[in-house]
Order: sequence, then structure tokens, then C-alpha cells
Amino acid sequence: MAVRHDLRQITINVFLAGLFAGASDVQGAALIDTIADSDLNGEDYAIYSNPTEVLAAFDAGYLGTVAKNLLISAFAQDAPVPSRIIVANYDGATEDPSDAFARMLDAGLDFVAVACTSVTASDQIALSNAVEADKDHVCGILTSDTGGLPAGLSGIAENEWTYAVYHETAAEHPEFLLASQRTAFNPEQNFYQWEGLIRGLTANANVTSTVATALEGANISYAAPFGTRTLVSEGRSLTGRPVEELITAILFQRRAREAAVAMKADYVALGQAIPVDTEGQVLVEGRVIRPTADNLLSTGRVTAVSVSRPAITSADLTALRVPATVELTVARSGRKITINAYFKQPEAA
Amino acid sequence: MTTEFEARTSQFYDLRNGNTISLNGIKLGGFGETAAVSYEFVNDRAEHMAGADGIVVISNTNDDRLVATLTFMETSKSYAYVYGLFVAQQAAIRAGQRIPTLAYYHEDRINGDRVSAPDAVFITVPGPTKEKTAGEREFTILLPYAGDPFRMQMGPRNLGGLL
Repeated sequence: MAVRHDLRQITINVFLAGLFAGASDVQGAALIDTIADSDLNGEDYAIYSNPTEVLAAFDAGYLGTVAKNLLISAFAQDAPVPSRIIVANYDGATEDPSDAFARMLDAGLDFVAVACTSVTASDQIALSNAVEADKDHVCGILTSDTGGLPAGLSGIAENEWTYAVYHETAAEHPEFLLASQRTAFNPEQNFYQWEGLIRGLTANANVTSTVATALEGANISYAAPFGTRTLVSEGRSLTGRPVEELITAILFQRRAREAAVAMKADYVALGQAIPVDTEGQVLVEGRVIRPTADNLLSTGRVTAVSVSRPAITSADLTALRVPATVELTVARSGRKITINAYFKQPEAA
Repeated sequence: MTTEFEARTSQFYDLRNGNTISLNGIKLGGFGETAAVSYEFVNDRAEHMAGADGIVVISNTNDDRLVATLTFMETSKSYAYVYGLFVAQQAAIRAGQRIPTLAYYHEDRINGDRVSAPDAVFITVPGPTKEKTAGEREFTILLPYAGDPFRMQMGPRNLGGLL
């Protein structure tokens, strides 16, 4: 059967209770480097808020040259300037970037997009697959193959949550600069697309119309002149989905989790329990699902919301969880995101 | 035989079991003697005027504000709970903080009506009036965009197969 865009839905399973620490502003990017280059003074990660902090860390030997240059460049892009950029590291001898990604998740760090300085296929695949399993961030990878996605990366060609950027100067990492610049915007205020005017990139010499066709055919973005500026476009994931749809999905599930945590806290405080039945589904819908979806409608990110209540299964009863299904119709493309949310009963207070 | 739009079937209504009226996910109850909740649009949906030569211009107001009036018995637990939400909202406003989320949701599972607002704001709260018998307490709450006709839903759902 031929593929239909409107049927290629993202389906996300979210367990809404107690999984998220604090409120997320659904902004920010993270860069993963090796310990050999960026030892971060022995820490697993560091958070930089301005170029002064970056240069101080570089002078102290905590940041490598590539990471330093990328962070300086990221803070030098057009407004809005990122309020923070996370750098995390991994042991290049025994680990891969996915280990650093996992440590950032364990630490409850708040970021939306992640990229790594490594251009080794195995490292990129490991990070991409970790992000694919998590379904709560987007992953950027760099490629220098003019023919499309390199054979070494064919294993992640169907990864929904990864986007690739072609660039000839490997140390410049436009995939990271794109991530840091885009995620500086507040997705609740701006329905931004995943393409950006990036300053300071070396021009690509090899992007002929033939190469451009090959890259676009593989859903790989690239930098090219756009008026007097350089535009990295057009921001699709490896499966062809515009990355802004993934941002919409991330925004929904993070806000829903926050609402679920607040609801759980209220119930615990009041000495109440949410029934695992239809009324429980209505209450979860009223406190968690509808308000979150209504806010997305208000931002214009989605044009329609459909909430349904799956039948409560014995597995749901055993796990004391209240299931809901949300279908968001994304603005601009009209495609749908389906989220299966499970609100878990508060633990014994 | 002509078909009837309003079929002669039994129709059902149940405030207690069919309706869930919740604030921040807590189901409310202990309503007034006859009133539970009522809704009112702040403005008409359209305004109209006639020009000097009689040409009529109709302006869509685009005003989706809906005001909900909740009525409780003064003895009800929900009265205390809702008043606590009001106090929390006032505390945040006076401290200059972001107003805590007040998610209003009402669904009539029998009839199909549904009103949803993620950002409700208290407009009026009752005083502690005392009389010979237990009195009622009335809150009015602004639901800023709940009147959006594409966001709210009107019943009846129990006629689904016929409509």
C-alpha cells in the first residue's frame, strides 16, 4: 500500500505520573563531547549561559576547542539568544554519546534538542536510537555525504526523532547551531519551523542542484545562500516529517506530565484517590489532557484535538492507571500526532 | 407516515451520575438546592448596525468569554475546596507570581455537553451569610476562551444514532 502522509502518525506512549522533575520551558539544546576534549572539570555536564562562562571554561581546560567554538557561535546568533546551553561528556574509549544523553535524563536536565561533536557513524547511531526510544527530544546529526544518507547510517533512516544536516566543514556542526537557535524560541509563543539563518558558517562548495536533490530526497538539510544570509533548511526528520511537529508532540507531553504531577499532588494532599473507571478518565481528561490540548490550540500549533477514552483493560487495573488517547492535528501539515497517555494512580501517601 | 425530527423515545438526564464538574481535577459536589452550575456568555456573538441608507453591517464579536456560576450548599466540602483555590489564586496575584493553573472541566456523559478551560479565573466569591436554614454559596468564574464554538460541545449525545 502506498504511503500516505496523513496516515503516518507519530504514536507516543506517555506515563504521566511522577516522571518529570519540575517544570520545563521546552527550550534549550545540549551538545555532547568526549571527556578527552571536554572534561568539564570532572562533571558529567555543565550549563553555560553566556560566552564569558564558555571562555573561562575553555581557558581552564574544561572545554575542547570544537565545543568552545560552537558555544561561542551559538551565543552569537540572531536573537533570541539561548538562555543556556548544556554540554555533557562521555568516555570515548568505553562509552558513546547515548551514555551522556542518559545521564542528562537522569539528572532531569531541561532541554529539547541534542547533538554530538562526533561524526563517527556508530556514535551518531547510538545517540539517534537513544533519542528515538525516549521520544521526548530531537537529535541532530552531521553528514558530509553528497549522495544522501551515508550507507553507514542506513540503520537510522527511519528514525522519526532525528534530523540530519549536510555540511562540508565538520567542526562547524550546523545541526547543533540550528538546534540551539531554534530552541531559544518559546514554542508556546512562536510556532517556529526548524530552519534558521545561521551566522558564521563556511559556505558549502559542493551543493550543486544534483547534490541538493539527493540531500532533499533523503530529508537532509543543508546550508545555502539565502539573500545575503546563509539558511539551513528545511528541517525535516529522517522520515520526512517537519521537525516542528515533533516539537509540538514534545510540548504536549511535557505540559501533560506537569499537569499530571500537579493533579497527583492535589489528590495526595486531599487524601483522595482517582478511580480507575470512566469517571477517572473524565477527571484526568479535565485536569491533564484538555487543558494541555486547549493551550496548544491557543498557540495555533494544532488545529484540532480529539480525545477518546480507551476501554480500561485488566492491565490498566493491575497497574492502577487511567488511559486516555489524544489525537492532535498539527497546523501547517494537517498530519496527526497520537498520544496514548496513562495516568498512574498516586502511590500510597 | 412522516418521520419526526424529535423521535418519541425516552430521554434521560442525571446530574449526579451523568455529570462531572471538576476544578483542577477534583470532582465537585454538594450543589445548591436547585442550582449547580450555569453559564453565560459575556457578550453577544454578533453586533449589528444599520448605515444611514439602511445597509446592515453585522460584526462578529469573536468574544469567547464564558462565565460559569457555581452554587454550593454552605455545608459542602466542595465549597471549602473551591474557596481554597480562590485563596491560592489571590495569593499568587498579590505576590506577583504566575497565576496557578485552574483547570475547569464539565462533561455531561449522558447528554454530551462539554465545557473546558485551562485558565479559569475567579470573578466573585460569596460572603459567609447566615440564615435560619443552611444557605447557598455562589462563585462566578471566568472561563476566558471556553465559549469558542469549536472548543465547547453541546449535546445531546444520547440521540447520536438519530442525528
